[in-house]
Amino acid sequence: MTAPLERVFRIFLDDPAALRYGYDLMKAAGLPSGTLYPLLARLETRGLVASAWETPRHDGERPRRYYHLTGEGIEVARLELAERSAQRSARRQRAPGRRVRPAPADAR
Amino acid sequence: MRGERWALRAGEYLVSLACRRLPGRIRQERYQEWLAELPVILRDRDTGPAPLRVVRMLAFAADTLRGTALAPQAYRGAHRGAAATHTAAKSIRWLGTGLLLLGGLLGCALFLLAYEGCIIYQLATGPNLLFSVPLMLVNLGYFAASCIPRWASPRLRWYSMGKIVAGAGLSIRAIASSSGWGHPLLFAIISYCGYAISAACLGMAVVLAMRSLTRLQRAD
Repeated sequence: MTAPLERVFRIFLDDPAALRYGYDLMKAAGLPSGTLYPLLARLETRGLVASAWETPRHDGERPRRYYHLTGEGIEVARLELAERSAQRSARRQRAPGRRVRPAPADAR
Repeated sequence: MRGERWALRAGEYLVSLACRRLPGRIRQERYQEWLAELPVILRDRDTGPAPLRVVRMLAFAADTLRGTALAPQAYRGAHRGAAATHTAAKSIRWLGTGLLLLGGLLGCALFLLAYEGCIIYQLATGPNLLFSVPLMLVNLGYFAASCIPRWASPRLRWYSMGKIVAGAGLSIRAIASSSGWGHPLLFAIISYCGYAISAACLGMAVVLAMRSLTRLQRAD
């Protein structure tokens, strides 16, 4: 699992029911659009993320597309993050003198 | 926000360039999605003052271009590893383009600096017709352009007028010194005055730009 994917999973898992727009995800994960959108497209192809178009609230407003984790996506994300945490703690135990920098989502 | 329409247009253009690399079936969908984000970024007050938001919006649009250039297979539904062999070559190409652009900008800045330095050198040492006449002609062109309503700019008009006076002074000084006609000091004073005017206009242009930036920030 790559670091950007880990960040995106963490943000989605903060509130799995919440609908996230691309720009909100970008801000929360600190990822540029050129990294985030291909990643979301891959997740959507794998069926881990689903997207839909919102209904515009005002006339002339462009509808935005929002994303959310699917049931399978929530499971996979939890598993992958747990695996990652286990790997990290194993690494920490092997090298107790060295501090492993936490992912940005951990700090929040 | 002033200039919002122009900024949005620039962003839309970048997004349309990015979408050209995508397969037809998803192109329109992505275009609509990214286009809808542009005004949101531009009006997101948490990001900072208006100029920063414009930069952020343009960075968003430009990065979609990078994303579709480096990872088009992601949008086609392929797995990441499938076409990863070309990614390094594309990254190097993008880096090369960035370095070329930076080099071009640096070259332009150095050229402008050398140009101004050359004028100061001519003022200090002695005029040269080969330099002063083109200087005058180029600035006459700028002056004419600044009179066209579409490009009308009082700053450019005053700046080019200053340069024309400096160029004229230098030319007359060159002709007068070669033919031994008139007092060279008079023409030297004329060209110095012209250059002083253009330097003042340049300073004025900087001050005006700073003031409009401050006004934009206050308007937010």
